[in-house]
Amino acid sequence: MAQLFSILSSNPNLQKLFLTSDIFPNDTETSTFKIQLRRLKRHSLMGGFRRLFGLLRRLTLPEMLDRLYLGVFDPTVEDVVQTLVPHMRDFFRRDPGFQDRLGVDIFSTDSSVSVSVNIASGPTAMPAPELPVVSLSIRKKHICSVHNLCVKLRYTKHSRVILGDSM
Amino acid sequence: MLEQFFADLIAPVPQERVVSFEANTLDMQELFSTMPNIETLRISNVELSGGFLQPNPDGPRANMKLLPSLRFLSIRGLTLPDNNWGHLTAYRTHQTSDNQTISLEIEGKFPHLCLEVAEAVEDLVEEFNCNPSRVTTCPLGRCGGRVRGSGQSGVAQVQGKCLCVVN
Repeated sequence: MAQLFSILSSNPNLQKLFLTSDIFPNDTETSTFKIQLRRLKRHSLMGGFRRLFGLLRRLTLPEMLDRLYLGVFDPTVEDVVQTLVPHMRDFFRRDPGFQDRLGVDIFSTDSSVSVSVNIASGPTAMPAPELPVVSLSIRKKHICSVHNLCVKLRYTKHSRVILGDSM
Repeated sequence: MLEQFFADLIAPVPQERVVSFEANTLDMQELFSTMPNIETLRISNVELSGGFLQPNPDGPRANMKLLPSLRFLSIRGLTLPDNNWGHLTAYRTHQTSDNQTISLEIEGKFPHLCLEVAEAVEDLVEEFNCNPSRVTTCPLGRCGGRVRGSGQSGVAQVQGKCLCVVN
């Protein structure tokens, strides 16, 4: 953990940061030391809910990102409602792009549900489908059992990226 | 529970900014009351029954439109539990009661649509596109047999609109 934080702290001009659960620290420290990454443009985190948000709490990110992808595993409904939703709300409030016209897509299958948010720029009501801004994907069977949700949050803007592309 | 979970996930989105909504289930119909500025609605796998896209008659918005800003409705895949298209014309009558224009698109698989019903729907909308994906047979025998889908003989193209007609 200290090694990761040391690397991040030594690179404040970092523009792309992709991390997976393999190297997520189990942050049990009570330190409030924040790592400044104010030049970050692309950010991808995928891993266990608590470790992921434990790391997020230690990072100071710019108000706007070109891309943000969060793949979160095993949160409870309470985690989603009490942590993920406030995080998203703060995210939407910071970025003026979300004061524009928005499109929301909700899709449900036997095995999953997903929610996407797009910016609908231009005079037509339909947003550009290739500009997904936020997308959440949840395994439905886990919603029904309350525990072990898998939530993915994808944020892309300022560049045309097809939803589902890897970062 | 799934409906509530969708509501939780969408809660942080600035819902008054949502102008476009797409879903493959109408389970979250209650959510529409929090997004009054939806102009474009695309829904799939619709079971057309009484009260379709209308507010709860016993609710506080009983005498109001569920989607007052709607300009375009697209339905892909539709079933009629009681074989009654009157639910659609009832909705169109409700939606256009203040002379607000609206366009309607029906595509994919849907039950037989008699010409008289198609004409009744067309009279209520600004533009009506009906693109059946397969040949259907009139269950009431009123059409004297089969009607055909778009691109086949027996289809009337009226000002760019596709209407199912009697063969």
